[in-house]
Amino acid sequence: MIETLGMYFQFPFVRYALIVGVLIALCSSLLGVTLVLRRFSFIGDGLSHVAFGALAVAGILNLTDDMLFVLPVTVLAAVLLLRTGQNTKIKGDAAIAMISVSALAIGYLLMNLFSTSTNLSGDVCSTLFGSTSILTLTQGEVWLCAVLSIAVVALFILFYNKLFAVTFDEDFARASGTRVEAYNLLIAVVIAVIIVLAMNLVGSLLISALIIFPAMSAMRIFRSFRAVTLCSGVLSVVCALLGILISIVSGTPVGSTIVAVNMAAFLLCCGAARIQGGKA
Amino acid sequence: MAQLTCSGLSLGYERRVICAGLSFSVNEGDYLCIVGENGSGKTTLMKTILGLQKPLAGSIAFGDGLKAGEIGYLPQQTAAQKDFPATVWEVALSGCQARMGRRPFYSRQEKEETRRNLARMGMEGLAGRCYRDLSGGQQQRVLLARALCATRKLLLLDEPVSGLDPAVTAEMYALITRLNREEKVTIIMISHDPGAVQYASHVLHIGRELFFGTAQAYREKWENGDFDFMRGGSAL
Amino acid sequence: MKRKTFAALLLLASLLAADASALSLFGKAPEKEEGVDLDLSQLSGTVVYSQVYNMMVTPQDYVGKTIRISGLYDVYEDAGTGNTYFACIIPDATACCAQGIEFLWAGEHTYPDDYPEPGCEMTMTGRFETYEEDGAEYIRLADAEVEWGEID
Repeated sequence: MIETLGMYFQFPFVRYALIVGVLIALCSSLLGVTLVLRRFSFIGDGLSHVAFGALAVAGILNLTDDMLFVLPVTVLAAVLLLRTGQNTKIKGDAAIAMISVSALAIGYLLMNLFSTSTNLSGDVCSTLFGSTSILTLTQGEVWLCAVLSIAVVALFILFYNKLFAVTFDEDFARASGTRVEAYNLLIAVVIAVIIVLAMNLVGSLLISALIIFPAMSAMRIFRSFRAVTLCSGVLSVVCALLGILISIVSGTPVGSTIVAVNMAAFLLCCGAARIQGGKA
Repeated sequence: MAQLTCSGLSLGYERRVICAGLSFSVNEGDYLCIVGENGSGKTTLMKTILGLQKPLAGSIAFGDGLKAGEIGYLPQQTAAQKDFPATVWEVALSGCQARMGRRPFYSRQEKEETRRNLARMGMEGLAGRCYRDLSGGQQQRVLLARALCATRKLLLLDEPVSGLDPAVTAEMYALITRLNREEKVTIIMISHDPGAVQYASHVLHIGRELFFGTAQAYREKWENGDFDFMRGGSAL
Repeated sequence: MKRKTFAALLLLASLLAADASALSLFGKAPEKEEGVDLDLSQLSGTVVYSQVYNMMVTPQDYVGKTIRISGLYDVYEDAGTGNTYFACIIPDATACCAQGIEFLWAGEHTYPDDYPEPGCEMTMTGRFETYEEDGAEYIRLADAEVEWGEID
């Protein structure tokens, strides 16, 4: 078994995939805790569809570097979504659902009408499900992913205490002089960055799994914010590693394998919580 | 100079005025109870004092060494907090947020102060417990400790006893009264519970009729049946 | 606290166990054949697809190497020029994308008599090279030894 893996590790793209996959998984799980606790779980889903639409447009415009277009558009959508979440006129969840399906539909429509690619269904499929994009990153993309992920982790550690305060009690934080809006904006931007990165790993349909599952699993077992955050990070990294390795060895699609491993971890955590609860 | 002076306040949303011509002041060591029916603007007044919302007219001035943002706030609990994974310690410590400014991590002094405030609330033994596993009264004590971490001078309590049973309610009131009497913490408390008035030194009644004065004057007026809304025979 | 640590350890252990069993199912290290620089015939579809993608993106890294690869045989006739191209198709794991590598079968063979039906499984070993046609660069395996049918 180790020999088999050793053989696969000869390929540089396998090593890249593992590094980038782990970093992306770590980022998404850290932010996931905040999103789940603030009842924003669906934002990941909404934004990933927006990113899909943006990617479609970038493809039509024949941009050489999609990221430069997709990233700003997704950031903008994230800011708008978080803002409507506070607005009472359109309920947050309805706004997200509307934006996400619109982006998905328009994206696919535009691709169908204007795409210059010969393999349309392949393009759509690999954008939606990730396919093997994590294994076909160029060296530049690997660096971009690595730098952005490390920036996200650094920001998270630096603002960990503020994030806790804002997540636990927004009103209290605001009353005690914390600039809640600024942090919400920061969160929105970081989520957008993670979504765009994670599209490479699992494709846009499966991103919310990467954000929600580790946090939910960790919350089954642990009862302090710090432990939940740490556990969710560790779980997410382990699941991503396992998922990538399994898919490489057995030839299953990367994204769905990672999500399946995450699901298994969640079930295990539920079981562990039950054992824990039974004894207590 | 009073710690907090509100003059000619008009409260409301956009063009709808809920409450107009509100003037009152709070001095150091006061215990002000704000009462009024639902929808009379108590929550809006509180948000305005906290600076979360701008008044439609009038002004709020802080004095006597108190700055805006130095108010310890005890909000009503939100639904999201009911299943929030956090320890008592983490929740209480987050009250020090206000003093940190741009500094990302807590200092030793802040941790020491948090420990002291938990002890004041009799919660130091439960610091490692999960917040969501506590009883309603214990949760309120933790939030009170957090509010004390944010201020040394003025506490603003929003319905601190809602959802608590009578015994715990009495305990909570006793705790607040002790903070006020023994530690000279100024208290502003919002309540729809008429019983809350008995602990206060001053009362602000908002609604169809405005009243601001000492608790004694309020009680006398109450006993004489001088309030218009009481003549309508409304059950209170 | 002990209970928590136990639960976490339990979780980790079962994850590792799941990993081990999943991997041992596919754990069969192939021996490298003589004269083959890059043997893709024994690797999983995911990796083969990615490797072929990389060959398309950076062909200069592979020119002159002997490569062994398995896939599905396909043929493409260009109606404009009358040229016939033979390819080995490698689908990806989600089965929505596929890439083809063109090959030149070593020896004397006539099309269509000597070739099987498109869709037949094949394994080929050949020299990687690039060539130009109408100003565009293409890649192919030249002098390819081809084995038809499923290879175990």
